[in-house]
Amino acid sequence: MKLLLGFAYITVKENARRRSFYGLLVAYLLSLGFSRALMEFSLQDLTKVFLDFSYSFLSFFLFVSILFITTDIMSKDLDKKGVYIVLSKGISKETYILGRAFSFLVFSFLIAFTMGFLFLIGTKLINYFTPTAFRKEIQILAGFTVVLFLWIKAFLLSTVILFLSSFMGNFFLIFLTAVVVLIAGSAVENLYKFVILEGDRISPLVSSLVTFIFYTFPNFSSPGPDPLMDMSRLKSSYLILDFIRAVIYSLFLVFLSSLLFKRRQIP
Amino acid sequence: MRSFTIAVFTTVLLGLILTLSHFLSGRIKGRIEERFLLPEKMYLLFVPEDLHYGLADMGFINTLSFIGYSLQKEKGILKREDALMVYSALDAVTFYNPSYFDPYYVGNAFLTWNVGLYQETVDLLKRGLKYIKDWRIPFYIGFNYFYFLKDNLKGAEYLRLAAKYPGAKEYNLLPLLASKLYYEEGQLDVAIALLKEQLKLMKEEKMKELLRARLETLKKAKTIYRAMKIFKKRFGRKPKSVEELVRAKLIPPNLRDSRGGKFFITSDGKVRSEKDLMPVVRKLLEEE
Repeated sequence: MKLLLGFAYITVKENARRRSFYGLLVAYLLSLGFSRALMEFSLQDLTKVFLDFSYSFLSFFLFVSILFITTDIMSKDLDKKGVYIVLSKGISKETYILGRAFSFLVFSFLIAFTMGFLFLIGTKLINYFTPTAFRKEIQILAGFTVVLFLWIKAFLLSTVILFLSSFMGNFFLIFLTAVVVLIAGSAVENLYKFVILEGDRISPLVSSLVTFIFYTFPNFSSPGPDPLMDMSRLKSSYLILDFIRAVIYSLFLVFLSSLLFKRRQIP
Repeated sequence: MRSFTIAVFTTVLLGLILTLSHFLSGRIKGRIEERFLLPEKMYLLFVPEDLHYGLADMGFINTLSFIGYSLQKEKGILKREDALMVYSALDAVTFYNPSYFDPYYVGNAFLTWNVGLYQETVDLLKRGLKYIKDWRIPFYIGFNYFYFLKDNLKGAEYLRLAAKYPGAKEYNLLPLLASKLYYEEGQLDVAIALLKEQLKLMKEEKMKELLRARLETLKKAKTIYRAMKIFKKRFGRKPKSVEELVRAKLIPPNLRDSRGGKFFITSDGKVRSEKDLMPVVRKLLEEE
């Protein structure tokens, strides 16, 4: 356990020192400025425009950074034989995977909550300086819950990459497959809703395929930015179940990865 | 020397990029009406859901540009074919981001008055009703129903709904307008119930007085309606005037509304008060 935590700590430290991490924060700050500029095009719902854009940027930056950084770490470990150094310290292959997963958990937390903090502060400030007639009530607590959701979904994506890396060797293939899983997982909730509503008009094959994806794929959809302006949207049993499913799904992928990685022959 | 050459070459390329951008900016105006600027319902179906919010808002900004260009082109009028394109774009925007108020606001402003897309606007607004807690959404629906679609009953229903929103308190006339529409449709019981309900909620004394006055008028109108039914049973025909009801001793004489206006019966058998009429009609009646 001590070894596992030590390994995870080193990985997080290594990532927090990466320039790309700070570059990401600067880029997100710039995107907040861009969102503020786009607000000028709105007529009545000024804060909502800022909220929408900054949230979309937050989600985009978070998932893209997880995709790049996580895939990069795993491929570097395998390509540059870094994994040998770890294994030679007496850490088993399963512990290596668990350590990596733990470090991804902490790292995704760092990114999600640092950017999430900027997002919430930015929204609160922009709303404060909006003319009184258009000002909205911003629920910071709901905002943190939304960021918490994003964090757990980002961690889920990193475990998907961990899982793919446990048996695939090519960095580019892992990256592409993860992108496909992300897109399918983000759209599946809406597609499933569509299948339920328009069931009669859709062919049974498509309907079965969507249902299959809904049951088996990770779900990357999140509550969206609206709960920040209306707390009641968060009080849904669906969201709680979805959150629990994401946690269980991540654990499942971590354990499956450790099983696969144990059997893998490292060149 | 080599670095210097590369630097010069790079600067020349940058200059070319800026020059081309300048030429392109002059041609953008001519391309703005192109259909691709407007969002369509299917365009974000496979895009991750979190990006829908920003992209739908961007689609709305494009729609605004299109409206602006179209108005400029047609000298302040939105052509019906352009309005149909605007409607389909706003439908797509609100499909992906239904809790954004502006598309409904713009839809209501541009798709009704000169264009006539009343039912489409109402359908669009009804989507907003599910997601936005703003009194203006049901107010717009109600207004479209009674003003454009001539459906007073539905209009009154939505105005009644609008009056319930906390933000509508500043606009206390909403329940009065709703009760007026119910009255126009002969739905006096609903109008009376609505006013009684509003009287309990209303805190402002001046508005309470107005509501009480309207309530009194409605109650008197109801008495006349009841008398008309008895009259028909008794004499086998509809009464022609209020005076006939007075002569039959079914209502007291000099029954006036809260503002002192006389009641009368219209040719289609509805009870109206002089004070409810437009000043010109009222003057004509007085001259008679």
